[in-house]
Amino acid sequence: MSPLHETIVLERTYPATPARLFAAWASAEARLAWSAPDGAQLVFDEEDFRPGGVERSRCGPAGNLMFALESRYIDIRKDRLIHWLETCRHGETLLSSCLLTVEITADPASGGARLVLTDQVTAFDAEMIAGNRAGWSAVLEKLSAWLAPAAARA
Amino acid sequence: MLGSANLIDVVHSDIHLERLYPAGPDRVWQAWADDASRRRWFVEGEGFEISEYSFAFRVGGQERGRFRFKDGPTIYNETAFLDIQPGRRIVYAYTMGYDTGPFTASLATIEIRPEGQGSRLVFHEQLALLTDGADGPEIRTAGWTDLLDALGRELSV
Repeated sequence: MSPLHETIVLERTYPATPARLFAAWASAEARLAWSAPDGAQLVFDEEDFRPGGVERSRCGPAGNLMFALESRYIDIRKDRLIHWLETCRHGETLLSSCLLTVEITADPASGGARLVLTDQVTAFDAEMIAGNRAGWSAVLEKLSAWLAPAAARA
Repeated sequence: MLGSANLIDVVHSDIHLERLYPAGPDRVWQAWADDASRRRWFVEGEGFEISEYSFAFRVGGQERGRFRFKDGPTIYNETAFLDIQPGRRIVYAYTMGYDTGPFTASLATIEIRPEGQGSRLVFHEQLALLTDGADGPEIRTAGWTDLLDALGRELSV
């Protein structure tokens, strides 16, 4: 099939400082806690959060980590921006490639931080577009839950 | 545009170009995949001074170049090939930048399809503009338009 191209933009406001929100993305240990979709398992094989760094992980239903993810960080600006390329493969087959941008700013109105995620997707399977949108939406909700306890303590 | 929803300075846009060439898909493919042919129409543009160039056309391989346009600063171009379907499709990601870092990141797809006696080439690029003063979607579109013209000349040789 012909490739499909889509730009998905998701915005959320979190009750956390930009520094804390950025930290949630900056370590694989933190990401592991909030970025696996419900019912899925995520295993990080390589972590390298710096411009030019490459990370590898696998995900899928528990016990069947059929999808290989590779992230290549292009630009990182502390507490403000993370920009990376992410590919998802099943065996040798490229299912999707995405240019992802996460932008973080202080949100004076709420005293928290605002996050804008832009996902420029090229997909070779129609389900990958909807899957990207649903997946990132779910993950951003889980990030909210992950950030909430500490915000409540503060 | 979507870019206006962004809070900082990254601008996201799409570039889509299509061309009909009077050459078969195999010939068009060869112009992208063959080192010497690619170098003629894609790398050695008029006014460009190339200081470094390498090309490893395989999934996981890279094309890397450093060049100056007229009296401008040195710019690098680093491409990673993500998917290669011989004769039909190339998916690649590339960044362009100065020595201080990238100014754009792109995800591009080239499709080649037989059409009539020739081939249709479909080019689609998803572009993220990372810094102020980078070339931007209009200039990038003009650049690709010139390149696809150059490809047309290469195919007519």
